[in-house]
Amino acid sequence: MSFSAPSTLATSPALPVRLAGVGRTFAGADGAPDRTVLRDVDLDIAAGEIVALIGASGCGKSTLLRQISGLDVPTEGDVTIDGRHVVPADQRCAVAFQEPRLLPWRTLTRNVEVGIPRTLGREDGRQRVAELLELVQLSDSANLRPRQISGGMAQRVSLARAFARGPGVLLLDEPFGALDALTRLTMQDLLVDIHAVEPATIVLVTHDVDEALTLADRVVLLGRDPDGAPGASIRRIVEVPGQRPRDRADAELAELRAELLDALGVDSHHHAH
Amino acid sequence: MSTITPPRAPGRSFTPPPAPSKLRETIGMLAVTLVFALAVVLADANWPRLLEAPAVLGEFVVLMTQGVLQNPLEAPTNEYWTRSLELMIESLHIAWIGTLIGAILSFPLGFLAARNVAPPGVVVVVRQILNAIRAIPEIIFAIAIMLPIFGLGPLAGALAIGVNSVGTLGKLTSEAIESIDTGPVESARASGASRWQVIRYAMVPQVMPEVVAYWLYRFEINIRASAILGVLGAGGIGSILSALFNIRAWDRIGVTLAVIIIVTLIIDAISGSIRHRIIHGAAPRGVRRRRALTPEPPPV
Ligand SMILES: Nc1ncnc2c1ncn2[C@@H]1O[C@H](COP(=O)(O)OP(=O)(O)O)[C@@H](O)[C@H]1O
Ligand SMILES: [Mg+2]
Repeated sequence: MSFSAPSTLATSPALPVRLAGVGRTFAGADGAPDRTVLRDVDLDIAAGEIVALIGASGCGKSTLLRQISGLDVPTEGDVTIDGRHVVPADQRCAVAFQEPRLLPWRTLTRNVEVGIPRTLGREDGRQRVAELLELVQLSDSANLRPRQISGGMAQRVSLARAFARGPGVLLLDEPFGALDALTRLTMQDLLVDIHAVEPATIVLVTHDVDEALTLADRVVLLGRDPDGAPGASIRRIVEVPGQRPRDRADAELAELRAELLDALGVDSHHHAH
Repeated sequence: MSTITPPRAPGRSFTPPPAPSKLRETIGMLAVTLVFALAVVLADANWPRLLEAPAVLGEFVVLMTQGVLQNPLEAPTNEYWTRSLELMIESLHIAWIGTLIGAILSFPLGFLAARNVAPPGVVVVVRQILNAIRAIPEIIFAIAIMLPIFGLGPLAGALAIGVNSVGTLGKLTSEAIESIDTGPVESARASGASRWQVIRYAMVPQVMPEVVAYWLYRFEINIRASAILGVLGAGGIGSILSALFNIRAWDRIGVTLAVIIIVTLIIDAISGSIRHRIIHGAAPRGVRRRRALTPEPPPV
């Protein structure tokens, strides 16, 4: 796929992320017992690396992203970006939430505009919004409002809004979950292309093992220890061989795929020869 | 797919109590006015005359009804009707200006009283101010604060109504703000919007329909308040009522009361249907607003 970088990039350099002993326990409301969702998460993410986070539904993947973005505060441990502690709603990160969370009363253009850094001039900002909408193939719908578009389109707007700032750390929570199969492949390619031109450190939550293997440098499996303390931790880290863009049919990847599906407790129907 | 349910701001429950009957409220208001008037009329009376009150009252009602039933196109009854209508419109103006003052002042205060916007210290102070305002009736505002400064008249009435509205409108606005959907707010924040932009882009549009509905509701209440304040001399329909009671012109009083009831009910109906449209959206295009709220705000 041919791709040209937006001309108005205001990208900040990719930043390293470090999670040290991160745990999150939610206080039980109305006398309910406390709920430990995450514990002892240690992870070093290099600047510009793409990490895919996989794990069973409800195991705490979104919660972990919230610790990195500063939208939530861990009860244990530290999160640092580029050696400095994360602050509330840390501006070095951009987030695409699991739900698109667009502002219903603003057009798609004006929604993406929210993510444009204020240091960018008015004209440049406008141009960048147009380019981003073009990237996610929504130029024709720029003046629609969120209720007039499909869930998949909304998710792409949310993605464009997250790209808008050219953040040092990009946190994507199941960004392609609501897309049809074809659009999903297109968007995956797009992410690879953007990352090549505009490298950010990316943490990507997905429940699609193939997607993780296609996009990531490392795949992190989050899950509970069945016999251990409550709360999910890192169960496994898989280095994905080869360079992006990867061949989706690669045999070595197929092995890893079987291994990861196995670890997730899914029968992959894959038989090693 | 699991979704994080962000902790919702502690807000009010979404099922406000059933709507108070407007007709009953209006009649209640008129009863109060009548008692006021009787108190004036009977001020020089001695206690034994109190026993005659029911009979006297019956007599008055008959006289008032006769006034209403006279041909409204003939002199002098036509004069009564047009004059009452003119003064009622003045009362509406007073209520409208008062509501406008209340709306403008209460809007920023509502944000300062919302826990999900302002720091805790500010919230506590602003809420105490709003509570204090709510505890004082308009009449006291009018007599104690506005009259000495602005003298007797419509301006004093409008200001008294305006300041008094700030108490309830500020509280209702802050509650609407605290109960908004946090999703858009968080996404705007995470996208790099400044605190001010978060309020403008994600909060104001979300609360606006509800807040405007409260403004209209308050306008309906303020019409009654301005009629009563008029009795004290703040202009409008109330001022002619007290004058008429002094000369015991019962037929004219009847006409005046009829004008109050009719105009109030008409405005209530219009304002109520606008509120309903704001909250539930315009039916023909099938557009649904943010959430199905019961149209009536909690009693204030
Ligand atoms: N604010 C919160 N308060 C209490 N529990 C929460 C909160 N946010 C998430 N959780 C709980 O944490 C667990 C993990 O949620 P989440 O991170 O959304 O899972 P995932 O994204 O992996 O599907 C869930 O059981 C959820 O109920
Ligand atoms: Mg999730």
